Amino acid sequence: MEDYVIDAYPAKGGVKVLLNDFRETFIKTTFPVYVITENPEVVLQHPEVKYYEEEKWRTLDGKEVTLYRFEVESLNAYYYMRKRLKVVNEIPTALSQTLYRLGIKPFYPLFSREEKDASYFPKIKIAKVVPISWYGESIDGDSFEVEINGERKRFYDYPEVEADVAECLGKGCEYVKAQVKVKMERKRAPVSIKGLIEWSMISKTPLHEIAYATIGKVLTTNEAWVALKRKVIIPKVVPRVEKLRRLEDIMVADKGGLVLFPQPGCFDDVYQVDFSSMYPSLIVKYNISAETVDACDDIKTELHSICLKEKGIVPEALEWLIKRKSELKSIDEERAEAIKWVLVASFGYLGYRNSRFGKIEAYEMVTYFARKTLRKAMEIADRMGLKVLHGIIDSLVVKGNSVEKFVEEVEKETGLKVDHKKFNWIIFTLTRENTPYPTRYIGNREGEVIAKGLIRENMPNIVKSFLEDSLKVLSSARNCDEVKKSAKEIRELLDYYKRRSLNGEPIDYVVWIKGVPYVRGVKGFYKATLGFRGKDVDYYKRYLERVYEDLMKVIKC
Amino acid sequence: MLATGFPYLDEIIKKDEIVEFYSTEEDLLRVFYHRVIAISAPIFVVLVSERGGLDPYLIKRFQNVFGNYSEVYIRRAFKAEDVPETIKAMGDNDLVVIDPYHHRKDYDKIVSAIRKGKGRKFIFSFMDREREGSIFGLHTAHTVIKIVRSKRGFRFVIVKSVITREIEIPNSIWELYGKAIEYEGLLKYL
Repeated sequence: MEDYVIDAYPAKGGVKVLLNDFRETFIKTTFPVYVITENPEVVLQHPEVKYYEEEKWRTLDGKEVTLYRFEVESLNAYYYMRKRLKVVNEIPTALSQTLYRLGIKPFYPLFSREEKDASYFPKIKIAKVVPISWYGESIDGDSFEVEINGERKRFYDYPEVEADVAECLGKGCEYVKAQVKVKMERKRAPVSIKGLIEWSMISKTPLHEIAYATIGKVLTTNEAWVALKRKVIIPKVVPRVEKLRRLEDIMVADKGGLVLFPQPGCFDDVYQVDFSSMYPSLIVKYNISAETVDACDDIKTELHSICLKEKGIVPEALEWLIKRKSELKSIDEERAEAIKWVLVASFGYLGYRNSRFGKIEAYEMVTYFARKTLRKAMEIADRMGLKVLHGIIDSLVVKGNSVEKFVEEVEKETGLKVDHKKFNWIIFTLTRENTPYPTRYIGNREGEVIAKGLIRENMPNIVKSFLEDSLKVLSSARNCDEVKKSAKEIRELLDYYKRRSLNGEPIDYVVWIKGVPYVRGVKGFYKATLGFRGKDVDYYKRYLERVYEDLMKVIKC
Repeated sequence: MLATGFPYLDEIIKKDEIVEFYSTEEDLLRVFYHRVIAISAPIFVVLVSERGGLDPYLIKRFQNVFGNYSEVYIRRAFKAEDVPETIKAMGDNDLVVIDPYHHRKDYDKIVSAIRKGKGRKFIFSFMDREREGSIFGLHTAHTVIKIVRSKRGFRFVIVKSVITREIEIPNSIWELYGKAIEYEGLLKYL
């Protein structure tokens, strides 16, 4: 049986490593603590500090700094030191750095030095236990939905689940035995347990340290590993001074991506052309990182300049993530999604005030290149006789022939990877104020209806079901004429749902607002957790009618 | 040169190096400092905010109103640790600092940076300075002015001053937008 590292905890004199099948091992070691100090000898007086070594590191600006690496017996010494001394390189965590030195990587075989490709995933038991109440997922439901390695089962009695890693909600955690349990109610990341394992693998950080962290921690840890390898100091806080700007500079630079107003109406045979991971790819292509922007004039733009002499920390950290995501797309959708979230956050994090490897000028450069790239693609479309119907940040909707050639040309001229999908038809709509609605469209992609901005999370379940069924009706429409003809069928659906609003199941009336289930009763909204206490039929009927009118407006657009 | 464009107020604060304006009426203070920036140009501005806080187009509109098209130089400080460094980076120029205590920490370092520069400084704060913020900052300011909304306009309340006792100066909202007797606002472009 192979020993997979599931998690690790620091202990006095070493680390306790949790392995699969409820085994564990203890490895004797010390923990590194990096300190900038004038007097390293004094630090040695702490009984848990074993020894220190002087090292030459550099700051992000390239200045050389003398750093002392103290080897401590337990993390208590580290906590003591960080209160009193200038401790740096705290990301990746002291535990992650210790494990890395020992050759222990989370979710890899113990002491495995072999490099694995993206297809590798440990052979471990992963479980998810969620209590279900009448209104859906609940912390104290009576039945349980259990998922073990992708297989789902419903338990109406108490389940007994054993797994290496488990994700559980409320009462569900009482019935699962696992090396690591992740409580869903405390989770701040939008990914599943498999996604968290993927994050743990890519950031070389034990699962318990990443389970309740935000995406930012995963991203920063990845960037910090690059900095650590280069011996670049990672300070706790990086004070930044923006370069002096004129009012006009801010007006030009402080913008987001390019969003066009779509032409309202229904269009047959159109193509959606998407730049794949556009923002991270631009960061990599143009070497955008805090230390490369305005460092020298290798790339000059009207906003800032970029230095190409050394690869930036952010581009280097993102490059392999982009590659891994594209490899995982065909292997495991869930893991690819987890990396996608990190890549999505990578751009925003460049401009985030507490980002260690970003600065506002770098952020502005990304949106600048994004606008330029989309405009370039529009110019190519124009040159090739294609009609651009819509454009939003990293994707264009075009109509015309020779789209494959267009995609090739865009890839050649922009240097970015481009995907394209055919839509049998697509509808762009108007807002209630009769202005174009850039973030909403409905399209039929080879029989599958894609609707953006139509179904909201905070709609009652009955309304969501009505919209989903309406989209199923639309999925059989092959062109815009047939879309218009489906109006009658959707009207019949509305009548059915209006009748259902009278005597539906209690779950139909549930509305989830910020994670809390509500029902609209005759005296207003009440929490579904109190039990089902009747419904305001008029409210649901009016809601259905309003949504129907909205949908009709879209269809007849 | 730093000025508010209200002659009587400018007269009171003309010799003061550090003047602090504060108000809990965000909209009012926001419009007011945009006006001050436009009138005081050429001017250096430090904006402390996580996002937003300065509308370049509103400054441009005020520049059109008052016919002052001189340069406005800006540096933004996004986190508390950036604020002292950014203020210091502005050197000895006359300075407008918007919401320096926004993050509610590092008061000592921020006040120290404000005191260091030799130019005049106008500070705009969204805090209720009678209840929170840097007390040392209040000692440092030569004049502290509270801006309060009233029924038909707003009032400057001189809370602290070297030359005058606590007085209130009422104004109409039109005056804030430059539509007083001496200026006709954007109407002059019609």
